Amino acid sequence: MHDFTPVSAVIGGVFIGLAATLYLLFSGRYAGISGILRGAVFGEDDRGMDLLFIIGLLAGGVLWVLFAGKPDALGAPLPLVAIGGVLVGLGTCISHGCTSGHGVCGLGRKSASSLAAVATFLVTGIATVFVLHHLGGVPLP
Amino acid sequence: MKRLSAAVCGLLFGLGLAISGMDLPSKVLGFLNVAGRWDASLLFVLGGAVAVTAIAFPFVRRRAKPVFDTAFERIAPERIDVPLLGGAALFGVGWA
Repeated sequence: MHDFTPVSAVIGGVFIGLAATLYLLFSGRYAGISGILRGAVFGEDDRGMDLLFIIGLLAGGVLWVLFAGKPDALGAPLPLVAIGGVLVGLGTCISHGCTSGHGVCGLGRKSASSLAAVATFLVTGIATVFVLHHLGGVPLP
Repeated sequence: MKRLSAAVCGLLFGLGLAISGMDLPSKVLGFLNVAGRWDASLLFVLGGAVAVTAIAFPFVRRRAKPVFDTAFERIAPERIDVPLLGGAALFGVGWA
């Protein structure tokens, strides 16, 4: 499934933007998923709120799968996925944000440091796919 | 109410990710795979989301306080430093 899907992408993007906006309006927080997940796991500030956000997030995904069909499985071998997970956790902790915090919210605030972070993780992400897939022969899903 | 609103926002966010296909590894990796069959969809997701936040955030921030809390979250001052870029670099590698 490598088809370009601009319409569903923009619709989904608008949902994400609305979710981030409402979250800021109601709770006064910026919807960074990595930070919310960290709060839900380690219990910072208001753990119940973080947990409910994550439950809602997963429920949204499940709802759409029930409605639209099956998702695809993890594409990479499990050890690689585990290494990736650790790097994502470390990276988002150190730089204070991920695709949602720096991408959706940071760019929405017109933050220069978020733009720098987004540019950096796009470059290293693209480089990693290139090394693993094109040079290393790891298949893509 | 604050917690309920968090769940609703999470639900909306999850729906957005699922509708756009950003819950699928193949879509994200398709975007990062610029040397292969590039799938630009992720750019449109980010574009759609940022279009909304860029317009709506300033209106929200004009309020004295959020609806269900006493103050808006304070954001650390703008600083482009080693932790920011190094952390983002690690995230990118792990993301892929």
